[in-house]
Amino acid sequence: MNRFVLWFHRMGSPPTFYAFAERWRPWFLWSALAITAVALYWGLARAPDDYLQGDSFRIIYIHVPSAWMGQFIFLAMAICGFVAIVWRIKIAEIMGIASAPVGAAFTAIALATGSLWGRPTWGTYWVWDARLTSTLVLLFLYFGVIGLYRAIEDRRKAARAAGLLAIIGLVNIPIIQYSVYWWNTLHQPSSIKVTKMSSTIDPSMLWPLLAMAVATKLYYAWSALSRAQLMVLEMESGKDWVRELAGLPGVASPSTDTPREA
Amino acid sequence: MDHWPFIYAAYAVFFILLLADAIGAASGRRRLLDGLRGRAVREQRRGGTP
Amino acid sequence: MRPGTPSTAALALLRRDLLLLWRQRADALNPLLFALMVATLFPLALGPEAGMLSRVAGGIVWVTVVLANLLSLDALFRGDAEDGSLDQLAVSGQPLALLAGARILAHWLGTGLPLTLVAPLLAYMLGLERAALPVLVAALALGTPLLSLVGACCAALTVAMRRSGILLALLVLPLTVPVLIFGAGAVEAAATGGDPSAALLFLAAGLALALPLAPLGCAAAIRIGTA
Repeated sequence: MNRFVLWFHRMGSPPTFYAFAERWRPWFLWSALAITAVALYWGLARAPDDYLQGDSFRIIYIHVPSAWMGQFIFLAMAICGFVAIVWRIKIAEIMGIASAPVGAAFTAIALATGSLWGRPTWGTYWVWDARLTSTLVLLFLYFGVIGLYRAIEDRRKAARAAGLLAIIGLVNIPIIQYSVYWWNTLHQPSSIKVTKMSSTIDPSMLWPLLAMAVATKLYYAWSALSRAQLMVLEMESGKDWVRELAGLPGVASPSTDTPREA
Repeated sequence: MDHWPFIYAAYAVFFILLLADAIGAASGRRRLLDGLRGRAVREQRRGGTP
Repeated sequence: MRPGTPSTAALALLRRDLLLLWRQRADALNPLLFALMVATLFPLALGPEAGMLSRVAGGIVWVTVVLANLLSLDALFRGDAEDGSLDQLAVSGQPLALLAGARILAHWLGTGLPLTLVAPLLAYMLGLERAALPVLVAALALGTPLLSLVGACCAALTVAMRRSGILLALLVLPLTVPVLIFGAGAVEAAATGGDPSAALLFLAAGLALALPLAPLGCAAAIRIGTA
């Protein structure tokens, strides 16, 4: 077995996964914050104005990475769902459903910042633009996944059902986006120009954007791992390793000491 | 039109929503561990194995 | 045909579902009544002006069909999940996807087909262009099976809970967006003198894609719910 496969199998064990997450979580969070600080300083204070859009293009440093993350996290959820359904790996179920809230948050941010960008640019907060509309549908899909997970009592069944919904949604996302573009060209007068940035982008604008794309991914890793840790603890709450983590003697080896008061 | 109010609003939305997500992800750990300890203490008082 | 083969099992399930549908034929009328009532609400809300109504008629008919279909979905697996026959189907050793396909076919025959047949009446009441009526029927004939297929996957996902309620709408409606867009788009193209064939072909392509995939997804969802 090569090292990667071995690592993958080890990760399937909840205590190993918990320890891994505990080790790497701070790194993800602090590097995300540091990269965000540097990138936003450059993007907001140092990069020059766009001669067409004035300052409003500065929203893209958060808008575009958030929109990317909205789709990226849905893909991650569907992959976790696939692994969970095919190999029944508990950690994959947990990681999939732990990704949903942060994915929904990024999608909501993409929508809100998009409409805040639209107000000075198009003169209105909301137009039925193809991108805004398909992002709205994506947000509904996230709500569906979260709602389904919450509504089923059996946690493992709930996670697998939510994973399957993520797979169904993933198959549908390209179809939905294509249909929305098709609908948009059917109805939208072409006078409203909806392209958000020109294809040639100045390097001084590009690198803060790419840095923010990296930072949002690191933040996603932190958020999903944190939620997954909590869910692992909840699911394994009767097990020895969790009791030891809480500072309690294990069930298998009951000690005579008086337990520490919490 | 001055664009900066919209830019500030957009960045505020970004940070507030992500902060809410971060609180949701990070809170609950202490509560969960305390709950586990409390349960173990009750089990111990009852004197039997859980 | 020998007993115990997958095809006999699927046919037996289909016959049973159709028999149930026939015994409760008054219930089967409910989606039609619902569609008729919703279609009546639109002129009441928008005003009786004929020109405006005829412009939005195709869209209204499509929305009512999507909603009527949605209402019928909760019952698709609910009864079988409650009395345990869904578990029996899952462990019967027959391919569950085929059985799910039979159930979806029965659902379409009980809901989608009657809605397709009654839709021209609704469209006529709303004043849709006469030339667009055949296109509406064609679009519904392609689109309602899609609604049944996609909806059945979502309904199967909710069997593990006691009542699906509003959640089913949250699951189904985003996934039916493309059907609505292409279906209503075909009608609008026909009503405004354009060419509806592109939208109809998209619907047909969607049906070709969903026909093999949706029963598989449905079967996977049933296995998760009953395991």
